[in-house]
Order: sequence, then C-alpha cells, then structure tokens
Amino acid sequence: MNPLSILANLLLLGTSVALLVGRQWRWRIVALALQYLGVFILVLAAWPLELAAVKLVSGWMAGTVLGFTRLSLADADASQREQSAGVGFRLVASGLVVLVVLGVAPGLSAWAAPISVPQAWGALLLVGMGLLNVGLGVRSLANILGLLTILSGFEILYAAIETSTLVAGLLATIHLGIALVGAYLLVAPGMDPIE
Amino acid sequence: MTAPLLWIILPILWGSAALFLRDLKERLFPASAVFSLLLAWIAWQFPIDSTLESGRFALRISSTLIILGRNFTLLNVDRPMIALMYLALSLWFLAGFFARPNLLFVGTAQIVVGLLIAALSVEPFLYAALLIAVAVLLSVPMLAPPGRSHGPGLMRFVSFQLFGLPFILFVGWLLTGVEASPSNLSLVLRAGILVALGFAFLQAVFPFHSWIPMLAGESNPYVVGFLLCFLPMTVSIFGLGFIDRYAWLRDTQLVFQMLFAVGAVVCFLGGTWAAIQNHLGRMLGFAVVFEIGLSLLALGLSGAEAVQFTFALIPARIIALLVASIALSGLLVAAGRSLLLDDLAGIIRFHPFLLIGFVLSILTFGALPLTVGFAPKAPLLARVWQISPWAAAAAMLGACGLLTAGLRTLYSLAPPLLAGQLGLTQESLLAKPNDSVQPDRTNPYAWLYLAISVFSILALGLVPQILYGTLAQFLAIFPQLGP
Repeated sequence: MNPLSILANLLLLGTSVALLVGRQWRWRIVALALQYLGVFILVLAAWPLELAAVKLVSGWMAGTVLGFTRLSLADADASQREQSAGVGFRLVASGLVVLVVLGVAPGLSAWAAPISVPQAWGALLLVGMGLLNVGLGVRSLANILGLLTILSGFEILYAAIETSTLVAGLLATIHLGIALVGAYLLVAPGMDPIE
Repeated sequence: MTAPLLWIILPILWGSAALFLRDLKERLFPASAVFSLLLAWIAWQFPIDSTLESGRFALRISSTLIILGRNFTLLNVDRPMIALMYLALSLWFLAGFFARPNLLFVGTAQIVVGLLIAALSVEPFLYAALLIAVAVLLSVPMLAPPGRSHGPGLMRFVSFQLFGLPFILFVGWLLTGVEASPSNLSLVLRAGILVALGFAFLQAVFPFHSWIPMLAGESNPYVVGFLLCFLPMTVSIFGLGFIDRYAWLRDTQLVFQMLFAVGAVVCFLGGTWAAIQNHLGRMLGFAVVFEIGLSLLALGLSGAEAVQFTFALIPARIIALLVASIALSGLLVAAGRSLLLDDLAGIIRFHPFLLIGFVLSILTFGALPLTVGFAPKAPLLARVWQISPWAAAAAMLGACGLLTAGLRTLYSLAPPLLAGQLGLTQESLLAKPNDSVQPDRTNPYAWLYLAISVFSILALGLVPQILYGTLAQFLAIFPQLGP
C-alpha cells in the first residue's frame, strides 16, 4: 500500500472531522483547502498530473470564493458561531462513519476493480462525513461545505473509472458552481433587491 | 450551422445577455418569448442534416457539435421535443410579462432550458446528470433573488438534485459491465439499485420529494412553477432514454413492476397531501408530486405506450402549471406575501378570477372530466388498471385527493355569503388587498387571464386531439421503444 495514499487518507480524516466539528469559519475553509490536497493525492493514482491538478485548483478556487465571501460578512456577523453545540454528538457520529468505511471499503474495492482500497477509504469517508455535514448543518455554509465534501468523495471513486476531459471540466464547474451558490446565498439577503 | 449551436449555445448566449440587460425591465419578457418562439418554429420547420436551398442560398443544419471530445447531437427525430420545450418556454415568458417574477428569471430560465436540452443531447447520454446539476445550480439566484433570505427548501432542492449525480454517473460505468455480461445477476441488481436511486433523487420521487412543497411554499410561485415544469419533464425524457438504450432494462419485468409500485405510492401521497394543505403554494407542489407519480406509471407501461403517455402528460401539465403559477403570483402580491388560506379569505373578493384559475388548474391536475388533464390521464389510468388494478386505484385515490384540494380551496375562499357556515371572522372578510393591485373586475389583464385560462383548460379539454394528435412523432426519438 502506497504510504502517500495512507497519508492522504489521514489528511482526509482530519480535515473532514474539522469541517464537521469546527466552529470558526476560517479554520473550516483551511480544512477544506487541505481536504482538496488529499483528494488530489488519491486522484493522482489514477489520473495524469495535469488532469488531477484540475481537482486541486477548482477545489482551492471554491474555498477561496467561500472564504472571501465569508470574510466580507465578518464585521456584521463577528459574534456568531458557525454552528450550534453538539460537538460530542458530531464526534461520535464521525466515529461511526469511520467504522462503516473501514468495513465497507474493501468490499467496494473488490467489487469495482479499478478502485484501490485507499481510494475507497478516502472516497467513502468524504461521502459519509459530507452527508453528516449536510444533515446536521443549520446554515448555508455548513451545507455547502458538506456538498463539496460529498462531491469530492465521489470524484475520487469516479476518477478511478473515468478519465474524460469533459467530465473533469464539468465536475470542476459544478464544484465552482456550488461554491458560488454558497457565496451568493451568504450575501444575497444584504444585496439590493432586483424587481 | 449545427443544431446544438442553434438550440443550446445560442439560447445560453441570449440568456446571458438578458442577465446583463436587466435595464430593459419587463420588455425582456416579450423579447425572450419571441426568441424562444422563433427557436420552436425553426425546430418545427427546418429538418436537421438536410440541405434547404432557395435560389443562391443553401442552409444546412448539421446534427453534431463536438466539445472537449464529446458529442452533443440533436437528430431530426428530436425536433418535436425541441419545439415542445421552446414553445413551452415562450409561453412562460409571455405569461411572465403579467406575473412579473424577478428580472433574473428571463435570462436564467433561458440558460436553464438550453442546458436541459444539452443534457438530452450529450453523448454518452449519462453525462446528462452533470448538465442537469449545472442547470440546478444556475437556477438558485432566481429562486432566492437578491435582497431576500432563502428558506430550507432551497438547500434541500440543491442537495437532492446533486445527490442524484454520483449515482447516474457511476452507473454508466457499471452498465458497460452489465451489457458485456447480462447474466451476471449481482451486477444487474447493483446497477438497477443505483439507477433507481439516481432517478429517485433527480425526479423527486418519495421520499426525496420533500423539497418540492418546501420550495413551492417559500419561493416565488412563478419561478418554482417554471422549474417544476421543465425539470421533471427533462428527467422523464432522460428516463425514457435509459429504457430505450439498455436491453437488460427493457427486458427486466421487475423494473416496470417497481415503476408501477413507486408511481402508485407517489400519486397517492401527492394527492392526499395536497388535500390537507392550507398553503396554496404547497398544494401546487403536491399536485406536481402527483404528476411525477403519473409519469412513473407511464414509464412503467414500457414500449411505445410509455413514450406516448409520457409525452401526452406534458401539455396538460404545462397549461395547468402556467395557470396556477400566474394565479399564485397575483394572489401573493395582493395578499402581502402570504398564500395561506386564512390570509386569503377576504382578498379573494377582489380577485375571484385568480381563484377560479387556480382551482381550475388543481382540478386539471386531478383529471376532472372536461378539463385538459382528463384526456391523457383517464386512458393512462385505464391502461394501468388492466395491468395492476391496485396501482390504478392508488393513483385514482390521489386524483380524488387533488379534486378535494380544489373544491376545498373553493369552499374555504368562498364569498362572504357563506361566512356563517365557514366560521370566518368579520375582520378576515373585510381584509383589503394590497392597494397597488387593481381588482379583477376592473383589470383588463385579469379578464384576459380568465379567458385564456378557461379556454386552455376547458376548451382544449373538449377537443384534446389538438394537443395529442402529434404524439406519434415522439416515438421516433426512442427507436427501441417504438412499435
């Protein structure tokens, strides 16, 4: 097993837990950026560098869009925490996700031969943690981060079986689109109405 | 010139320009309606992959455009579908002139329809899920326009639509294996489960339907009506494409039994929930859930019948959604941004035409005889009855639920003559509409709305062959499902 893949999985575990339980939006954006690094490493096992770099660049751009948008709201929203209490519950839930992933990933890899076990670990982990984030998130930012995480997990799986440039481009567009939607939903209430 | 350039790229460019030309305000609506009508007319008149010569001029619309190594192909047989979609879009723009949704609607709706047609033309066709996802993301600004906060339904809409994407894309890879070894039951089962989940998310099938009533209750009803018109229609056609392309799907009886079972449940729940709603927007949302169930029943018929009934349901749905969306937009303005029955009790004295239009459309969804919805739904339910009586019975119960919803709305908002029986308070009966909204009786646009609504729902219901005479043309799109 490639040590780099193990490292990438540990990175994904740390960042996805940080995205789930983190309270400061700045740290969550940093976690998102690092998460894309882990995704890039796992995708690199199946894709050429120049195509895999699309994932990294589009992911970082998505993080930048969300970060700058949230930064512009900081003064008005400084006292607000991004999520309510329940860190313990979230940690327990993420532990359950990790257990399920450890049990399911080898089966997935055996069933879909092009997907390696480390890729299956990383992908399923992100899908599971992303679903938790979407399900438990009460604000747009949490939901958007969850959606980006789920899609990143799927992209690790899909990269192992599909190398189409059009698909890479469209998936990057969707990543950026989700980030732009998130940014828009954050600022829209404060914008001048269009009638 | 290529067909995808004409019916995909050009509308997307037009829509993008419309987003920047918002200073034109309401003039954007007729301009875009004419543009869409022109695209529909070209689709109706000009064959694809044939050369038209007139004197020294020759015009040829070729079928394929290659982008990043993948084909976008619109064949000659697709022309009726393109014409239908652009004709429907032009109607939405024309009616938008009266309903006045936010100005982001014009450009965004044009782009969304361009992307949905791209989704139906891309090869490999499973990439359609990606383009549908892009269309969903683009529709967010018109659902939550600037200056207004969004409700939870919007995020649920985006999430559920995006959840469908991985399943559909992943199943594309699995299907190559299934085609190579169709006897591998475990692979077929897994592919079937993934297809079912992907479609359940995209088509908002129970239990993933919850975003429809939530969105219909919190966003502009006209914009939601537009999305509920085009998204399920595109996904239904996409579903027909799935069944048409994969022999193992066509030959697996369990698939059609599942479609029947799920369709019946969705019809029943949609109709029943509509009957107990106190919010007119949510009521319309559940009516669309019922329609989605009917689409599933139509797909479950398999073969040529599936194509004919799927396309037969579309015109009535477009008309009913248009009439209902205009009514709700008017009532929303008049009632001060509330569509709860209680808040509308007094308002309706000033806007009876809007009430009539809304109730007629709900009765159309419920397949009331003599309405435009009866002509496709009655034969569909009769055919379903022959195969699975309990599925037809469940769908009929759903239809009864919708009829109940329509009559209940009429009764709840009945004139003050019934005040005693209804238990309405004097205050609610004396409620005044928003001052800026002219009462229906003195508003020529309201009379026009009433005339068009009654004509399109009742007159077309009496002579349905005007709408359904051309159904055979759609069979050619799906050669494996044709006769």
